[in-house]
Amino acid sequence: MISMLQAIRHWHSSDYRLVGLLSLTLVVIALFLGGQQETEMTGSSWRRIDMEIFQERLDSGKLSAHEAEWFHAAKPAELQLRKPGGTP
Amino acid sequence: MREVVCELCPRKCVIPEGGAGDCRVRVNIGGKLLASTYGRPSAMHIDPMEKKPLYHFHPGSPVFSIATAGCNLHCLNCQNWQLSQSGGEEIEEIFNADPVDLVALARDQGCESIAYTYSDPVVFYEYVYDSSILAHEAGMQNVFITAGYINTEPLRRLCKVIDAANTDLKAFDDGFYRKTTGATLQPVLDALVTFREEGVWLEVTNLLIPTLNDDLSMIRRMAKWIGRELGEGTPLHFSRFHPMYRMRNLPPTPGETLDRARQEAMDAGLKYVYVGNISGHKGNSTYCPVDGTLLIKRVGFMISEYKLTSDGRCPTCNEPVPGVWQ
Repeated sequence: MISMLQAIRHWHSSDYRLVGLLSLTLVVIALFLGGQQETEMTGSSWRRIDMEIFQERLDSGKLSAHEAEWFHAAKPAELQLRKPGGTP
Repeated sequence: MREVVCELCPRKCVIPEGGAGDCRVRVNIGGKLLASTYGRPSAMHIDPMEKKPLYHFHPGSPVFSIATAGCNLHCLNCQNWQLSQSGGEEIEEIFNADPVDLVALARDQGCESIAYTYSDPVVFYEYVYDSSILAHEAGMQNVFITAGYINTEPLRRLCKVIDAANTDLKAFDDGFYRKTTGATLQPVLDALVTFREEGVWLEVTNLLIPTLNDDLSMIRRMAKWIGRELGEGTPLHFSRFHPMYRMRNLPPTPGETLDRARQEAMDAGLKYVYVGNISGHKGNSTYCPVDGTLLIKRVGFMISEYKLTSDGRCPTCNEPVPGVWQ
C-alpha cells in the first residue's frame, strides 16, 4: 500500500490523463452493459427456424396455420429493437 | 420485410417474416403471426389434480393434461426441456386435437377438467382460450399451470375462461429470473395479482434449488408478499429440485431445506404451505390452521384420508378452508 502511494506521488500529468481515460472507458462499458440488461427482455428476441420443414409440416397439417391473436405490424421505432440475425 | 410484434408476453418479440418468436412456436408467415401449435398437442396424459399441483381444487379428481411444443422461458433446470425447448418443426410427436376433439377426448376419458400444463401454455394461448370456452359449455373446468410470464391484457381475457391456476414463482429475485430462466420477475408478480383480481382459484409453487434460491430471508419476503397481495389463504407449494437439463451440477434439495422454508413461510403468516416432490412428507397434507386437525392426508399424489366437511370446513372447529371443493 505504501509503495503504491509512493508511486502515485511520482506520477506525471500524462499518467493522470491515462488513468482518467481508463476510468472513463470502464464507466462507458458499465453503462453500456447496464443498458443492455434493461432492454434485453423487450423486443430483442426472435428465432430462426428451418422454414422448409416448417412449411412441409404446415402443408401436411401436422402444424396449424391458425392466426394468432395479440400481434401487430412492427412500427419503425420497434424495428430498431430487433437484434439482427436471431437466435437459432 | 413485414415484421410483426408479438404482444402476448413481456418479451414483445419483433419477428421478421419467416422467423419465430423466442417461444419457437409463434411464427411470422407473410406478415401474419401463426399460432403454429394450435390444436397440435405433443403431450396428453391423465393426471391427478394433485400433480399440477392444485391441492385446494377438486382434490383427487383426474385431469386431462395437455401441452404443445415451445415455451417463453428457458429455465436451466427445466423438467420438460425436450418439449418446451423445441419448436413445432423440431418435435417428433404431434397429435391432431382441435378444441372440439380435445374436449370430447377428455370427457370420454372420464375427466371433468382440462389442464394446460407441462410446457408453458402461454405460448399456445389461442388453443387454451378456444378449448376452455368449449370445455365450459360442456360443464368442465379449466386449469392453467404456468410461469405467469404473460402481459396483463391477454391474461385478463384468459381469466374469464380459466377456473384455477398454479403459477410458478421461481424466486423472489429478479437476478435469479434473468440468470436461470431468461425472464424477469415483475411481470410474474403482476400475473399473480391479476389471477387473484379476476377470481381465478390460485396456488403458487416455488421450486427450491440449493444455493440459488433457498435463502430464508428471501423466502420470508416472498411469503410476506404473497400474504399481503394474494391473501394468507393462498396455498404455497415448496417443491424439491432434481438435477435436470443444464443444471446437473447441483444436488437435490435436502429435506431440511424444505422444512425450514415451510416453517419460514408459515411464520410469515401463510396458512397452507406444502412440500412437494417428497412422498410421505408431513407437508404433503392439509391441516386446519386454527386447531391443527389433519384435514386431507396425501401420500404422493394420492389422498388417503379426507375429513373436510362437504362445504369445505374443518370438522372440529368449523373453520372454512379456502378452495373449490365440489
